[in-house]
Amino acid sequence: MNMNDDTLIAYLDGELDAEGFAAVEAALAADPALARRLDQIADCDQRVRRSYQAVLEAPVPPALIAAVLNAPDPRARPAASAPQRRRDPAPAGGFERLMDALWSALSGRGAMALASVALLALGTLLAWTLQGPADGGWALRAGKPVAEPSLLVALETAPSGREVEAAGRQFQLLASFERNDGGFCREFNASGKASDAADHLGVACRLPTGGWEVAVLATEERPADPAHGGYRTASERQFEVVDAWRLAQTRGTPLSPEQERMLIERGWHR
Amino acid sequence: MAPTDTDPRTELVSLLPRLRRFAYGLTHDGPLADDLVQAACLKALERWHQWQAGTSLAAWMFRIVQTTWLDDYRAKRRQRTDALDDETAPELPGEDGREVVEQRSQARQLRALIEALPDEQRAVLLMVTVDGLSYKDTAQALGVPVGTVMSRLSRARLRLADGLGEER
Repeated sequence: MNMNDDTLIAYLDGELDAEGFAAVEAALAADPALARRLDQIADCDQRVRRSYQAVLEAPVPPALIAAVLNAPDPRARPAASAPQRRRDPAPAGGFERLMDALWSALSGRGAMALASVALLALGTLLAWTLQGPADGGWALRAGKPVAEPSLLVALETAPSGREVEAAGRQFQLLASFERNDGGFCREFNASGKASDAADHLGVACRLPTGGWEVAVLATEERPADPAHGGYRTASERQFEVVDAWRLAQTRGTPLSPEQERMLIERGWHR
Repeated sequence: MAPTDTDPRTELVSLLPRLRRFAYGLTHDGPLADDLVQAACLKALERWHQWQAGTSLAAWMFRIVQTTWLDDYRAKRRQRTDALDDETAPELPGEDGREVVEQRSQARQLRALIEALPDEQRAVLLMVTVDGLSYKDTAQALGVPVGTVMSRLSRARLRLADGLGEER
């Protein structure tokens, strides 16, 4: 086998068959110059990949997600008859359209869609979600990142006061706060229907690297309340726990709706 | 492979980070890359029936981004001044200021080498070396034999490896 650069590159890309692979391994062991050449090419590959890593990990602009989600569904297009007029691709009225798109995703589509939207809205959370439990990550724990896609989307994008239902769960963001160290936190209430009797009241804080981490959590196991459509509301004890944390850790007053909206639009950057 | 009832739009949404990276590799201009990705996604949805289930959706999308770039966007890129480039370059992580400066200068050098590649070599470099697609998926999407992918890829990488080697 002729050990030229092409062979080394196919070796690096894992595109050689077993025989070719073994031949390259043998040649590399016998020829230090060849091994140096391989290192040089591999090092260059590494640098090329690294130079684009930041783009891959950056949060996808919400307007781009909204533009794709708001495009006509190709499955609904009649085969050869009059094609629908394409919508203006410019994300006009970006915020409302984004919220609509996210909400239709949250309420109407399956876990796949939720996961996709959350991953993209949040960019860097990919690794967490992949490592999260298979049941969707409802293992909320203080000091741990939030892994549940629908809660992540809500933390990142939902205005306080709006109730959201997803995958048999209901959650509501109650308020946003600025922490004493300048970070931003949001108080949330999450409860499930019959499958999970736990009601969670907690605060999640945005991490400087993107994503959210549970700062404090008060969970109660309680049966569903039929008077409230099967959902529960948090108890006094839960509010005491969370209020104590809030008084100690934040500037007390919640952010105004305008401040909150600005932060949502800027991805929680100042 | 995704079930047929999956909404194509959400499939595209889940590809957006990779599409943005690919488009940034072509344009080296963040806002233009996002415009390009958006235009390519809308184009893909209009001709969704052309996508063959069972083939790589990412590869098919890269191909659409690439042709949209060559057909509609490259001229716009040329009108922009180079002064804008540094403002739109993503921040690189670094331990201290010196490292950041060093990384910036290396990144700029690498970017210049990548920009100097012929279009078809840059596309396969981004698809295989950066994104990790197989030779087969890349060849299928570009409509060329696997051997062509290999030769473009090796020429691109040797230019970069030798270009970086010279500067040391």
